[in-house]
Parts: sequence; structure tokens; C-alpha cells
Amino acid sequence: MSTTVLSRFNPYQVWMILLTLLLITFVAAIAQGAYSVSWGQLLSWSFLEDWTSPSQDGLILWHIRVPRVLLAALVGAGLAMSGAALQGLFRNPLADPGLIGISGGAALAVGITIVFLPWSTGYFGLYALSLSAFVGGITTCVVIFKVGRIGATTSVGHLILAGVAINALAMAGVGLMTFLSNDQQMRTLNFWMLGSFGGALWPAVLVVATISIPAGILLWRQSEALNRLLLGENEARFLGTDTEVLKTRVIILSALLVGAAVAVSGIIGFVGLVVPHLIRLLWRADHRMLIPASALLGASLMVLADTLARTLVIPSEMPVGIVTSLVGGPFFLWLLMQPHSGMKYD
Amino acid sequence: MIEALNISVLRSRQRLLHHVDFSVNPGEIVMLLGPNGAGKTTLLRSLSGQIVPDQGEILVNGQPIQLIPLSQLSLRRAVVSQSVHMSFPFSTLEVVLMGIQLQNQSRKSTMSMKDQRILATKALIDMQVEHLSDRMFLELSGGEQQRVHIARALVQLWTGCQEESQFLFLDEPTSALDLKYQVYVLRYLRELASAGIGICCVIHDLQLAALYSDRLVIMKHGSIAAEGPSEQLINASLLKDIYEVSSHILQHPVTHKPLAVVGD
Repeated sequence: MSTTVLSRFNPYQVWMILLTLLLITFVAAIAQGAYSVSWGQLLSWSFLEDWTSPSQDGLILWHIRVPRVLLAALVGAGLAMSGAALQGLFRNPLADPGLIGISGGAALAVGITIVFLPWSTGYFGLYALSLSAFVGGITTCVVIFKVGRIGATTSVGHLILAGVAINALAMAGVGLMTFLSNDQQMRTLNFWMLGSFGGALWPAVLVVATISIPAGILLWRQSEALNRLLLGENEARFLGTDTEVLKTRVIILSALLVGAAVAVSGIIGFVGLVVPHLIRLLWRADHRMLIPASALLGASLMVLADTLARTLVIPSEMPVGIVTSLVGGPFFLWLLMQPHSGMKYD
Repeated sequence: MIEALNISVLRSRQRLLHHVDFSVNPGEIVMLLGPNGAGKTTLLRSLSGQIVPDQGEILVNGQPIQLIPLSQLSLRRAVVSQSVHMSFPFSTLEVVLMGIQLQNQSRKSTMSMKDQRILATKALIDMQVEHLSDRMFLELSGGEQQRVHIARALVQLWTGCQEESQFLFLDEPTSALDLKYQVYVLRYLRELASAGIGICCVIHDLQLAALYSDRLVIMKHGSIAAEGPSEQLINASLLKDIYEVSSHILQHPVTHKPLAVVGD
């Protein structure tokens, strides 16, 4: 019998559980912070506030806290979805936007923009950085695919090794950028390397939402094809799936999701790796469930991680990437060491 | 009908297939026999569209195979490969559900999830693995996995194009099965064939091949060495030629099919 924790619930109940979790983390995250608000106050605000003349509390929540929480949720969902889809595409549980170089390529492009094109960030702000992150992410994908291509088909083993090598190169490039940068640029770069939602405002939410939500929905629509791909490329083709088209789509959509995330929050590790594992472990591997469930859980966990980053060292703030890696790393190791973790990847 | 017209396949200067003409008609079972490396699997792969022959042409119901989009080809033929590697924990039922051809345009409405499950369960019952439907596919034995893959191919054919002839290719489908299921699966294939599906099957067991085929095709060195119904084909000198093994040919007491007994 398949005995995952969530398999005894029907799918609707699982969706309700995941949605409730997200809602709770949302409310908790909005209430907590350097300026903290009681839950009772929060609830009364949302219903009684006079929006034409908001109080100072209302301003803080609406202009700083709410966009930050929404941004964390969007980025968490995007990273988790792209992780789920890439693991399916590479048929490898280690595939993760960070590990195969997409995040690295995006970060390098952002680094180059900050150091060599400082005027562009002045004019276009976030959009320039988002754009360079996409360009970096997609360029990395194209290079990985060119290297991974043997004859007419793409070899997954080559792809993943190419990704690891390119990631190392990109990281070296980012290091070089740090070396070349002045003090202020170095601070901006560090911010990106460690990952943070500090300074998140509504425009960032808007940029990420307009990219991540459509890309996520399109990625979800590849679910059945991704399921078939797990049987192997030949089998998927026998079943009528054009695997070359599928690979291109998944790579482009993942690069969009990761590019948007990196542009607004820098490199945040382990979310893309751990969340899909958790869903498979707790529920199931079917991409039709896995991708949306990863989005919900990824959003909850990222909001939680960002809340910790904001509140653990008040009045200062930790980079959220450190929180996710500090929690995610040991947790992942523990998961791997469980003898009956259900992680049968041979 | 699926036809291979004068096909040759070269791989790193080696001829895997050498000017082969071959066809599978709707409603017949053709069994491919021959020593290891004779080109049986290569021929099956060419017919199923997995590899493109360097020379010659494959026609599916008269149409060149490379002109048929994958999503249309899959409505006309299903393939059961020798080994399938599965990377993530999926349940047996989920593996069978992957065979469903939702893109089939000729169906009036899209299938509901419930109908898909009913169909997949029927295939599992037909392969006598329905008791495993909630088990993780990777935990099943080799023989059980093989039957689940056949069930997946059945679902593919059932949801495929019913207006045109359909074909099923199997590469050693009985290799991991016990005696009971070897006979069970081959009998099941006979029923499928009588329902009009053309079947081509690579197999090593001469006796089973003789009993359950309409036509045998024996390959050696990338060419077809002999072909015909088992009664006319199997004799001691041919087996000596092909396998370099001495044998005696007996007759099945009921079906009168030839039975090869190995030894001097």
C-alpha cells in the first residue's frame, strides 16, 4: 500500500490543508516583525480600517509588510515549482535551479549589470535587474542544452553535469564581480548572493506576479508530459509526447520563474530542492499534484523563513537565504538518512 | 498495415539491418526470432519510430512514419519495451494512467478522471495485477512490472484511434514472467489479434513462438533468414543454421505445431 502521510486524505482535503497552512503563515507573517501587531488588531484592521485616512500602523502594514510577505510567497512558489519541474525533466532528484546553474547564471548577469552598467539600474531600477536575471538564466539554460545535446537528442546526464560546471563558472564570475566592485556595489552584490526580501515594495510584487503566475500555470500544464518523461524519453515518445518540445518549454518556463525570483530576492537555496521532495514524501509524485502542491508549500515555507529572518535578530535582519540553507541543509541530510523515507531513486 | 520497405540501419559502420522487407498485418501475430544481436530489437525500434532507418521507408497504414506527428502515431501503435527505468515513486495505477491518449480528437468529449481510472483498472484486471494498483511501481517484481507495462500499452490502444488499424510491438514481453503468465500473456495477445490488432513480438522461446504466432520471422546478421507459419518453417537444419544447435522436431499432440527439442 502507498502509505504517505497525506495519502489517507482525499485530494480536496490535502488542498485545504496546504491552503490553510499558507493562510496561517500569511497572517502570522504580517503580524510579526520589528513593528509587531497583535492578531486581534490585524483582524480588526482588515475589516474596520478607514482606507481614505489610514493610520500609521496601517501604512506600515500596507506599504512594507504586506508586499514583502506576498513577494516571499511568490518567490517561494516559483522556486519550488521550477524545482519540481526540473527534477522531473532531468529525472534526477538533485536537479534544482541553484544546483544546475540557472540561479548562478542569473546572479552573474545581475552582478555584471550592477558593476558595469550602474546607470541602467538608475533608469529602470528593478526591471533592468529582472531583465538581466532572465537573460542570465536563459543563457545558462541554452548553454547547458547545447553541451547536453548529442546528435538529435538531449542527454540528461550531460545536462546535469554541464549545469554543475556552469554553476561553478558563474559563481567564479560573481566572485570576480565582487572583486571589481566598489563598496556600495559590493553591498548590493552581497545582498543578492545571500538572498533577501529586504526593501521589497509593491512594484517588485507586481513584476514577479506578472511573470511567475502565468509561467507557473503554463508549467503545470506540462504535468502529464512530465509524468510520462519519468518512464524515459523513448517511452514518453511512444506515448505521443514530443519530448524535445517539452524540454524546451520546461527550461524556458523554469528560467522565467527563477529569473524573476533571483531579480527581486537574490539566490535563495534549498527551497527548490527540498519542497518537491517533501511533497513526494508526504503525498505523491504525480506532477499534476506535485507542481501546485509545491507552489503552496514553497510559498508557506518561504514566508516562514522570511519571517524568521526578519524577527530573529531584531532590530537587525538576517538574509533569508541563510535561513533557508541553515534549516534546509540539515533537514535534507536527515531526510536522506531515513531508511524508510520513501525516497527510492535508483 | 505497418511495412518496412527495404530498410537498412547502420551504427558506427556496422550494419544492424541490411535491406530488410517486413510487414505486420492487422489481426496477425508475427513473432521475431533469432540469435542475440541479429537485429530483432533494431527492426522493432524502426517499426515503432524510435530510430530512423538510414535507407528505406516505414509505412504506417500507407503513410510514411516520419510524416505522422508523435501524438498521432501513438494513437495507432503501442510499444512494450524490454526494460523501463522509472525514477520517482509512482503507484501502479498512475503508471497505467500515463498510457491514456487524451489528445485523441475523434472522441466526442474528454475523458473524466473517473473514466480514466475505470479504464486503467480494467487493463490491470486483464493483466491480473489489479491487486497491486495502489502499490508503488518500483516495489513490484520484474514480472509484475512487465505486466503493468503491458496494461499501460493496452490503455494506450483502447484510447487510441479505433477507425484505423492499430499495432502493438513487444520486445521480449515474457522474459520475466513465470510459466503461468507466459501462457496467459500470449493467449491474451491472441485475443487482441483476433480483435484486429496487428502484433509483432520479439521472443526467444521457440515452443511458445510456434504455439501462439501466425507467422514466424527468423533473423540472422541483420537480415531475415526465414519466414512463414511455424509448421512449414521449423526444422532441424534451419535451427542448426541459425543457432548452431542440434535438435529434433516433435509434434504437439493436439495442435500439431512443431516442438523443437534440443540435443543430439
